[in-house]
Amino acid sequence: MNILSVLHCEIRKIIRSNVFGLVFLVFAFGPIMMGVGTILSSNTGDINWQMYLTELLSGLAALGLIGYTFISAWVFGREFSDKTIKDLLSKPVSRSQIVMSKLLVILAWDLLLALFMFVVALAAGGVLGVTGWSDALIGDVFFRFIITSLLFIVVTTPGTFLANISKGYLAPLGLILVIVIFSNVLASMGFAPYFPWTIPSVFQSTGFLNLSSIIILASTGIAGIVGTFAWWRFAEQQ
Amino acid sequence: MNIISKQKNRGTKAIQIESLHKNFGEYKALNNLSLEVNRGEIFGFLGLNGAGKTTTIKTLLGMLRPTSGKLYMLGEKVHAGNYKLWDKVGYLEEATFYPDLTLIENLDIARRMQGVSDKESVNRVICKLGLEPHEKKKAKQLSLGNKQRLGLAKAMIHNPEIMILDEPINGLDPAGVAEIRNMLYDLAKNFGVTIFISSHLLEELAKVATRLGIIHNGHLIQEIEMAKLEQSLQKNLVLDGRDKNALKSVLKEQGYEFEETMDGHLKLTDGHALESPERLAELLVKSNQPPTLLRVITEDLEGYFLRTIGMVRGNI
Repeated sequence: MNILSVLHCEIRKIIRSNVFGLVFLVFAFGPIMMGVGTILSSNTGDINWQMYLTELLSGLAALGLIGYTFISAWVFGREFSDKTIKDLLSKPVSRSQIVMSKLLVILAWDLLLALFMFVVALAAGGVLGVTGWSDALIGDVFFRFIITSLLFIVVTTPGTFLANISKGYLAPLGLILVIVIFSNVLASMGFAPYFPWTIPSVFQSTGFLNLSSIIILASTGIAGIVGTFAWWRFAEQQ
Repeated sequence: MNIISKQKNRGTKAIQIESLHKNFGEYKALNNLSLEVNRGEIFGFLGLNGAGKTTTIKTLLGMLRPTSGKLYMLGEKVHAGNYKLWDKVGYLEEATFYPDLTLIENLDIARRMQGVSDKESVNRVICKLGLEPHEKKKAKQLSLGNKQRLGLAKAMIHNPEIMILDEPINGLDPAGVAEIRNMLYDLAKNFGVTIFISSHLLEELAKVATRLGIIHNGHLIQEIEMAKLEQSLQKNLVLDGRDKNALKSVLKEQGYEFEETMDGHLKLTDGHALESPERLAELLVKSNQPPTLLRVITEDLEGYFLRTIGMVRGNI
């Protein structure tokens, strides 16, 4: 069995589901509302792209964490809620290929969502009359936003693992809400560079991560992925 | 159907389970279960809820690890890593599908996941199960019966050598039940497909299975060829008369053993009454107690099943 064939099935399952469109619809509101909020909160009412995007994207990246966690939890969790997991496990496909295909479509969907939110943020800024456009500036901001999004995507893997062991997508969503609350508390205490889910925000604001942050982030991501692969290979399916 | 590979493996059993134990903590779901299913056989797997049917099937499919014991399908050892085996096995536990995808899309995903390169296999299985009018419908909009047909279509799209079916006729109307029954019979008889079918619909199972296995408390307590089932069904002579007390006295005097049924008749449990009911009738007439009812009643499959597992349905 070619992994491309499994990948094709995974892509089709996602694109043809109602959830796919719904995620983009829901996450279009984030940049629009935050964009309006950013403009309204500026003292002068006149704001340039540098200020607009800096303020907006720090909020958006964290919003993305919820979106990316939902996506990864749903891609795995729906197999349990639709009870199609038994179908998957009785196909002549290695379980690691199934997991790999799912992780790849999650990555693609997450990046598409990040790109979408960025484009909506730009469109909202354009409509709201933000001034001072510069291609170089937008390019730099976009690059940092995408790297930040990738870092957030890395730390969604424990949520993916939880979706599998809890056999659904509600537990990881609960977990991420708790993590968002913790993140605010820990960031205010100065622990942002040491908590996996606040490390991407550190990169968003500074454009740099120290080695300990990279190790913590990578370890968290790898633990989630290894756990997910191991669970699919060894866990019993009652 | 791959005839060459079928011939190569002809010597091995389709399914072999040897001394299978499966514990969930302290609970023993399967207790020294052993069974063999021959190629081309339709094996009916019967048991009460919680008897261990689903645990057996899930262990057979590598979804659960046995606590001890061995499982083989088509001569190959079953374990989670031996995923290539599922190329030859079709499985339906309950009709599952991707609800937002159409019936044809669900089948195309099943085809790809089974590694079937022939795209026409989707149309063929749709025709076989009479699903043509529904192929463009979203799976969630299908009726219960058509969802079940979709599940069956997914289980057989790759022409498996073994089909493992758990309650495959749930939700089907009587015509659909007969249609599926004929199809399974045709697959086994003409294509040599081995069918392992678990159902609580005992009468339906009796119509389609060639052999029956009864599981109780995680143990296979009875295996019987359907052709020989008739001989195993218990027969009783039931009689009644106008004066029941007088009738009882005559029976006691003549040494017949009997018991009273729930509907007030007398059931004779000894063999010699069954062998010659005409002599009993003659005796009762001579004793001035002519019977108003004298009938040989054959136990139904449900009665046989309950008797086999040591349960009593009621005295009929």
